[in-house]
Amino acid sequence: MKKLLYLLSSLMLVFTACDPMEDVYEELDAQKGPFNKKDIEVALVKADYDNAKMKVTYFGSNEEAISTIPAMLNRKYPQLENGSSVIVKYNLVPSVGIKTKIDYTITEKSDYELGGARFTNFDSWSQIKAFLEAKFPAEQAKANGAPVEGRMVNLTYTRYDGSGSPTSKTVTDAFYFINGEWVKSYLVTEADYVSVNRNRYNNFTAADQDMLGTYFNRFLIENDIRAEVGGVYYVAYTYFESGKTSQAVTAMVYNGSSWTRATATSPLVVTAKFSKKNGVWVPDLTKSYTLAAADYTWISQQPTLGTVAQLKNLGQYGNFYQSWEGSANYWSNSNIVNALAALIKNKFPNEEVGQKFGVSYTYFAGGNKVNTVILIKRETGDYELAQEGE
Amino acid sequence: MKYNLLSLVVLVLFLGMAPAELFAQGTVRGKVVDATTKEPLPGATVILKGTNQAVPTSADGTFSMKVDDASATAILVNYVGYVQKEVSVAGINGTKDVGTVALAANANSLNEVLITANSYAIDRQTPVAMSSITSEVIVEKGAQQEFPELLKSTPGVYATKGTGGGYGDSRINLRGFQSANIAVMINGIPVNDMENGRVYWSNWAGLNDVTKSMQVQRGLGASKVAVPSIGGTINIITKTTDATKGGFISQGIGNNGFSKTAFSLSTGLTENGWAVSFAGSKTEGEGWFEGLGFEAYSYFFNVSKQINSKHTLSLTGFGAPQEHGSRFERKGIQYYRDAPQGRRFTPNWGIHNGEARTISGNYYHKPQVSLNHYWNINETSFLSTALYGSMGIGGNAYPNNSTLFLGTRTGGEYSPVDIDAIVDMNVEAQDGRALAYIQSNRNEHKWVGALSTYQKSISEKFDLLAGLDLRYYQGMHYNSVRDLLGAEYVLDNGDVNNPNKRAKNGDKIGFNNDGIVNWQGGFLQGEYKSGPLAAFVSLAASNTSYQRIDYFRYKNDDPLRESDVVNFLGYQTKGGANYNLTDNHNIFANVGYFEKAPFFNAVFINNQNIANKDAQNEKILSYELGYGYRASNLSANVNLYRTTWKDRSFTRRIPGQNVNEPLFANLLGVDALHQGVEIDFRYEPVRAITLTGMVSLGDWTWLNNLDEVSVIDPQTEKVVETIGPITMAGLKVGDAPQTTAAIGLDVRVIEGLKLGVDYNYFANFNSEFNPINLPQNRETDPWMVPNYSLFDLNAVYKFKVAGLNASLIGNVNNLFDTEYISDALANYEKRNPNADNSPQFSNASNAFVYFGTGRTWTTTLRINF
Repeated sequence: MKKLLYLLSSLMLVFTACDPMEDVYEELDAQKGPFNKKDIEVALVKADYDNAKMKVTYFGSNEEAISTIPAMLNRKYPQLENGSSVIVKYNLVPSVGIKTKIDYTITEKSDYELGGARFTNFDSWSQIKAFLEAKFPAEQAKANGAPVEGRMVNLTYTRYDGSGSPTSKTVTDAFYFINGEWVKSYLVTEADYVSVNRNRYNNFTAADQDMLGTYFNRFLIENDIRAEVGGVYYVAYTYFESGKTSQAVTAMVYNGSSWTRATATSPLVVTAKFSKKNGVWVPDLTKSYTLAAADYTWISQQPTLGTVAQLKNLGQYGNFYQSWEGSANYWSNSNIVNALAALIKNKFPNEEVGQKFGVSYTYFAGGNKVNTVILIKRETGDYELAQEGE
Repeated sequence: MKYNLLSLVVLVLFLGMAPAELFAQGTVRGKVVDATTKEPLPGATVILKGTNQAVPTSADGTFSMKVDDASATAILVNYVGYVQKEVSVAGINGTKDVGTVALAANANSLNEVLITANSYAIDRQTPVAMSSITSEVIVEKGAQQEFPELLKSTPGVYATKGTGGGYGDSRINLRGFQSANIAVMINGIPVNDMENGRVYWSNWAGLNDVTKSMQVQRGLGASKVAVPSIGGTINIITKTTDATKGGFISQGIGNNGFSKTAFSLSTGLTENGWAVSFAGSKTEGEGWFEGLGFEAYSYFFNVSKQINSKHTLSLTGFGAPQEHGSRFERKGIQYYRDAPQGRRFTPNWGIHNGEARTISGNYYHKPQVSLNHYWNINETSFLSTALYGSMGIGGNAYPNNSTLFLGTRTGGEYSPVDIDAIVDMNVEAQDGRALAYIQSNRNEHKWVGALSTYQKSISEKFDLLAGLDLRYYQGMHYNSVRDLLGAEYVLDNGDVNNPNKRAKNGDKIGFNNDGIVNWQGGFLQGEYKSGPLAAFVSLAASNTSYQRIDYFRYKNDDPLRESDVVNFLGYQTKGGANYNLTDNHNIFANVGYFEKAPFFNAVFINNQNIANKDAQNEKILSYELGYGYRASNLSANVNLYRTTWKDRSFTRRIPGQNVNEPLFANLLGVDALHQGVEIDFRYEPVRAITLTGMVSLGDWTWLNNLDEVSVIDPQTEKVVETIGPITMAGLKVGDAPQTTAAIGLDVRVIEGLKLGVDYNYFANFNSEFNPINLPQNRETDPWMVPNYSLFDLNAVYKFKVAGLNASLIGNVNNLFDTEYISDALANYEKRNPNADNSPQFSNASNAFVYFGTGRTWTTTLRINF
């Protein structure tokens, strides 16, 4: 009997520790939040566009995408809870067109002054942009009942380039107002038409449609125009159709090594992030950026961003030292935010006020670790840490 | 399922307790074993006293004799080389089970070898806590387990497949101490690495089949030689002239493509005194975890000659060349939960030319040869000498750029590495250099030694032993190119004597240095035995000299290329006594003090040739009390121990801001206390049932805080920062569960069929932590790993085929496929990452873990001849 009791009591141990990971898994689930709060990446497929009653499998503009996708997400993921986020890949064929074409030649010094230039020439894009915004303001177009988007200005002006020869010359550039701002675009030149044997009339025709992508890629590459992967550049050219000659514009997309034309069969593939807040999908306009080696180098070369020791250490190792506070190499969290804000401001000068960036960087604290901070652009043009709820 | 098991066990017990029927004739049953090794003795003779009636013991040592004479008083048990034993069978009425009959070896028999040359402990005589694993257990319960795991039911032991998780990656902790503080001896020869004290179990994997016995001596141990027996000593003895003629062949298969083919052949001791044995095996499989495929061979030979009654010569050689994949990346629990394959997922393997291939593995071959001479000089003196040598060839394999390899996959995060894509990258590189390649850190060595013990009986009660232990070791460490993966060469600048080297497969890169260790040791021991009292005092001293030669960091003509030779003296003194109170009870006590020379890496830190002459010896003080109970069907032990470890100093490599330039920190003056109580028993209520069990309760803590630690920049040898002081006092020692328990039940269901179940329980398990990374403002102690328990099942069916003894063995380990964590490293992170002084915490969400193996099964057919 005693033997039986001993055996039974020792077997009791069996029933404890039966599923050792049970408690741990519950603890992890509790920390993560409810199951249906997820972070997903998805690419839209034909069925999604069909379900949204779209005749095509692409959006004509980002605005169209942002207003249509939330409904698509409600259909695809009705069960996800607030706090979930979805990164949606969708096709974009920007329906670009020139709504209003303006040919303008600058002759007066006052025009140059509108761009903030000191002399009778422009030497930087920011001056031209300032000029365009002042000379052709959006409000005025709206007041006249004219379209704001799709305005193209062929501007003839004097450009100054200190390293060129001659240093000043008269050029004609095309500038396009799209997605709320003026952007530089490429105006196909006479020499370009010569190179593709279209200089008889200096225009392209319907027969050239298939080749336009190839031609424009060549023009852009020859002129050393590049962008980040997925970046867009607009090319303005003269087009002859049905007896009429007009200026047209097309969007070119950079894939890292070459430019391709965004069309229905080869659209731009864009990602946008949506978060579910209060039961509704809203676009999450935070852009993510992870520092690359060149960025650490850049920061280490800005004397205002840190002490000599801090900057030297950063440049040498490519990470922010945070191991030991007493070290001269130590970067405090506020030091780092300050440096990142300057970096983002420098790298992305054209962002809107209120744009958020999720910036990931490597720091060293007993090993290399990664941290992400959310920076937001203020009216001053500087970036700061985003506050709770922003 | 668990309930059915319980009812089966209860049923069997009740059957066993059924009252014996009254027979007119009686039967005597029992099992004969060697008193020291607990090995069963087949072919022993059991005689009914006063008659000519005799029966032999069968292959497993059991016997059964019908007794017609009701006035029979006793049986006599005989075996060559052993002292005859008389066992009472008076008043026999029905079946009488005399239980286990343990025969003690003759004074001058070959068992002298066992005890003197191999420092084997003798039950009820040597005052140390000991446990033995017989070859029977190794064969029947071994399955796919390696030596450490075979010991998991021994008190104080924690053994896992290690962080590597693959073949030969096992690790063992004893009483909370890691392998550098556990002495491992094979046939009396110490095998702990001479530079860092570690033991690489893959080197001994082939010995499973030729092990005669394995004995764990916990605590100071009985070894006379100066060995790092702080947690304990593991003695593995292989068969020599005591091998019986014949052999076996076996074939085992198991989960995930496991296959083991093994054989052994022995001539036994022939008439002219020769004994030759061979054994070999091939083992392969894919491993339970992904990407841990392995292929291993082993070979063993022994040639012994009993020259005359005084001299015996024995030559033993063995080796186990293998290659296997290992786990390498530290990941968190959620990472494995999110994987479709769950805990089986390993990130370190990929597809190359359509075939699965690991990117972090290990390949090694360490053949070892020893020549032993045993000399019975005269009736009172005995000399044993061993000359041995071994060499190690091999290393690990891992990628040069983990981020690149681990980030290039065929699909999502949990798909295999796309090695083909990496090869393409290399092929495109314009200057032919490898952007991505597999490298191999090789740790090769040459080691020769001589170990000699002289034993002299000064008087009837007093023996004196003295000995010499000499070793020469040369470790060769270098990094090399293992696989160019389609590139033409690796551009290497590690060698100042050969900059911009274009290295090909096999060439040395990065670093190349030798560690030379010379060891001279001597020992003296006095043993006193009189009646029930046996006592010993022993003293051992050693001189360790270290020298470092660096071929890459110093120019050929730089005198600093060869460092100075530095010497460290270490010594140990221990003593103990055992008193046999009665035939059943004995008590013992032992105490010892130990000063251990620092390891090689504590002397030559930062891979520089300037020796740290101020490296401290570690000091260990240990006390132990034990009690034993021995009866015919029950034996039990209780042990209490207390080991203090002072001035534990170790150098930690910590990652530097530049991944290829680690920094080093010297941690000095940390003390730890390991104490606890261990209970184990073995009970045979009836002959058909054996119940074993143990409970081990440990209390292992760090005693003091770490003073300020300096971190040294290897380039300038200057202190670049200080860390700490670090509060560690009171923290529990991690890396092993402090409470363990086990129960084993073996039932002889019918003649020839034996079933066994083993249960192991692990609790009070703190994850390992790095004192350097222990933040001062921490909210929590290092994370505690969940308690877990495991079930193993085994069955052995013995039968005859073509007149030969055969057995079919089946094993299932981790019967319920329990999901558990076997190894864990605590990690601290800030509660609020953006606040400079945010308190830090360690919990399940940020700990780095390795899961234990799931359910595995093995079936083996073994034929003895």
